[in-house]
Amino acid sequence: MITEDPYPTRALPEDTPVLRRCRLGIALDSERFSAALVDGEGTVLASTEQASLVAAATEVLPVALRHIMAQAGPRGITLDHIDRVLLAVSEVDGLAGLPGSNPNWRRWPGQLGPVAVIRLGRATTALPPLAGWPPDLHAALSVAETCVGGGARMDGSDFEPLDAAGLVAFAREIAGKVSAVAVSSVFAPVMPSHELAAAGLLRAELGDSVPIVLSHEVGGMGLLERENATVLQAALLRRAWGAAHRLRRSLVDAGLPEAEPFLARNDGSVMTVDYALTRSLLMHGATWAAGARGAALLAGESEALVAFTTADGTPTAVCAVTCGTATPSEGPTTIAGVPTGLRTVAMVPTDPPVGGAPGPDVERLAEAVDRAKSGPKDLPLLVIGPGAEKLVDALPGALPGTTLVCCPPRADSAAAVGVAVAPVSGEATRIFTLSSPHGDEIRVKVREQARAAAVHAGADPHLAEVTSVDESMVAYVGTPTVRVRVRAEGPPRSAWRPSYQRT
Amino acid sequence: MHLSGGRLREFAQGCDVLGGGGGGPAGDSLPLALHAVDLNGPVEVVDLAELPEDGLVMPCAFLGAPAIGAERIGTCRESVAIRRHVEHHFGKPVVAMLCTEIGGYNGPAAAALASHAGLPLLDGDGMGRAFPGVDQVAMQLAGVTPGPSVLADEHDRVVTVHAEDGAWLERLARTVVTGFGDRGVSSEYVMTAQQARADGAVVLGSVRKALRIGELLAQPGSVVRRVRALAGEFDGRVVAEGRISAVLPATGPDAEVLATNRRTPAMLEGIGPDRGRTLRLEVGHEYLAVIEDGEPLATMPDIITLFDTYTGQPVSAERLRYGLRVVVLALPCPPLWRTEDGLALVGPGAFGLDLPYRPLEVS
Repeated sequence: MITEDPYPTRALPEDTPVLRRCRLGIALDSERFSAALVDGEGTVLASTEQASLVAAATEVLPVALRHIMAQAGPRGITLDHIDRVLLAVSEVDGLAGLPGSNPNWRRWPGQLGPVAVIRLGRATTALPPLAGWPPDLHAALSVAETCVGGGARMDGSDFEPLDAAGLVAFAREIAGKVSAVAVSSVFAPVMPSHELAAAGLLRAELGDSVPIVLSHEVGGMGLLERENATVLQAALLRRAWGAAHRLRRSLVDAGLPEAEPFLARNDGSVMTVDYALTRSLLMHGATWAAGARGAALLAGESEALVAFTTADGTPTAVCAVTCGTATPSEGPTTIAGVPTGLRTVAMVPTDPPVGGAPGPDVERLAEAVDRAKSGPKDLPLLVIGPGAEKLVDALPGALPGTTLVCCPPRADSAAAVGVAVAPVSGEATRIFTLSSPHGDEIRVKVREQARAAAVHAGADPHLAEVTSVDESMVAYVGTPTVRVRVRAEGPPRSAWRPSYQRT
Repeated sequence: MHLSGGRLREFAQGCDVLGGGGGGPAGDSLPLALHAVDLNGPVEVVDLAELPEDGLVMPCAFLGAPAIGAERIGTCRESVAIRRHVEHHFGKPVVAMLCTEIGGYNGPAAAALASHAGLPLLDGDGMGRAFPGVDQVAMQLAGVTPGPSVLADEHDRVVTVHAEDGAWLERLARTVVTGFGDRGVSSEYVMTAQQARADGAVVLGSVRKALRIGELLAQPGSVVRRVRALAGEFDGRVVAEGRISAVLPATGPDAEVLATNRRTPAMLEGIGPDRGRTLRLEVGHEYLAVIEDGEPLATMPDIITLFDTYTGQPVSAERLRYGLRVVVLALPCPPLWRTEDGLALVGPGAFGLDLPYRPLEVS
């Protein structure tokens, strides 16, 4: 149904107090889920943690809602008060098609790709696109790959002139054979103009129905890792599209037609479903990030360590939290055997060393705690997950390296609380020479870009603001060059205009 | 002997060990080498004795900023253009590629460059490990003329630099690399096979050594056990098993990233059989020294490598952080570095350490 009214009625009247605008957070694990309802002031009104046979958001939503409303109903909350639903998924529906190290991932190879891969930058053939990928994944995803002239140098000038004729010729070769195209380009994060021009040329040849994913939107420095992530995103698009549709529909079916769904990211923030369509890889590891955020909030500790547990009280992994957010990992993240520039939470599993025998739980936990820390300072250890209480009860006493070991209130649903209170974030990076006369202008622009990126991802435009600015020198370059990275955050927007309505 | 597939992987692993914490990750250049042999077939590894006396041995290495190299990955065919110019200048054929630096990134990179240039790889290198300086090579010590320096970018732009001494050569070559946009491939210290046969002009056997190290590390068992096997075979020493208990703020003449003498000391607390011991690590671009109770147990130019017991992988000096569980291995450096001239170039003093060099004691 297409409505004439450009501003359709919202679920809540304009004068509904912010307090009553509630966010429903749901975190899915492979065999369990947790849910939490948080009001406008961040008070947790209800929470639950349950076993679940199906790890699909669409199946879990009605069950979670029933449990939550049973607690929240008596406090005067109705479904109408829920205007945002935020989901954290560790087994990403969209990622499920990728063969990975995790045997729990289901495989749907038929729903991946087919894509074509274009790299702008001819003199990069030391490793052509997809060289080094697992052969079966390569064959399943990609119809054709090419390197054509294009790309930028670090100073923004052309690496090579854009080979428009080469692009058009390739587009004609792949027309009708692909469901999406992945385009990457040398130094695209510094200068995306060739990627944008290429997208225009491709669209003219392939039509509007073939999505084109550009590497500068995926982001990250390092051509190969960024390109790999771009290709995976493009290959997952069709599947992500279907998953998004099912998710929105399940909200309508559950009686929340006006609530906007958000999805959790690996950095502990959330994004709108539209934004996630072309960035489904960002959901990889999001449940951990949400758990860490929730634990820090529930315990009132912004610097801490967080231990995750299984239902029987076994610790599985530890991560560190600084400023309320999980510490990200350093290196590239390998997905389905392919290195990508994604940064996930730096999780320290409680597994024994290579070739070592597993010791008792307590020893392994103490070791993981020390390995997860960034320095010798003792920190509180927050235990969360379904077996949190069991584990804390089983510990013989103080744990070395910690100031205290605690099980925060609602520890079992910490991930759901974490995703319910998560902000929306945006990042922007620019590289410029230190001597540039436009340095200050550029700095102002990057800040604005970061804010715009947050709003694009679904942050409330009135409340999105810069939260961190990081400036560092690029090492070993002849001309002193500075890299500015700005991050902005804001609460997820409310009073969304639904683009999907059940007719 | 040939390098390809699984052997290249083991070779790369050995290069990381010989890097002694520096030289950049060999894992980053390994895919380039694997792709090159996919295209061109396995890389032949030759001994110096097999080469014709008058044929040229051409060292090759990547230059510039890692951040630029990560975007401009190049073609690895830079070596083709460099080979052409070297042959033109000297009027003789190049008969083998020489890896400038076996430690880290440049190890597998040399295999890739050799493969594309259609050259065999000499079983040797210029360092026997990783060093930060261009002139910290065996050829310099043996009096081989560094010039001319032939530099190429990925678009076959080639510059040949001639200068009267190494200092000017390096100064001008750096300007050229800046002109390329801080990424390029260069060749210096080109020599004939006969010159290379002079005592100590090249560190011999490095390629086979890296390969053997990789083989030993691929054996089953705990990390300590594998490292012990490695120490046994190469006259090295397992210094200690421990946890990094502190990484201290950078010290040195200035704490800048680029300064050769930048140091970030770290403390290692013994675990297991080494419980109760406390060691101090001097860390620069590589691991520079391990000290216990004021006594150096191992110092530059001997090779100090740390292995993460949870991954089995060597830990680069850049990635050293609090809480890591490591095994510290020290391997003896090639004998040429233990001479008076060698120590002047790469001894503890060259890295800002006020320590005497004491050859590694094998336990």
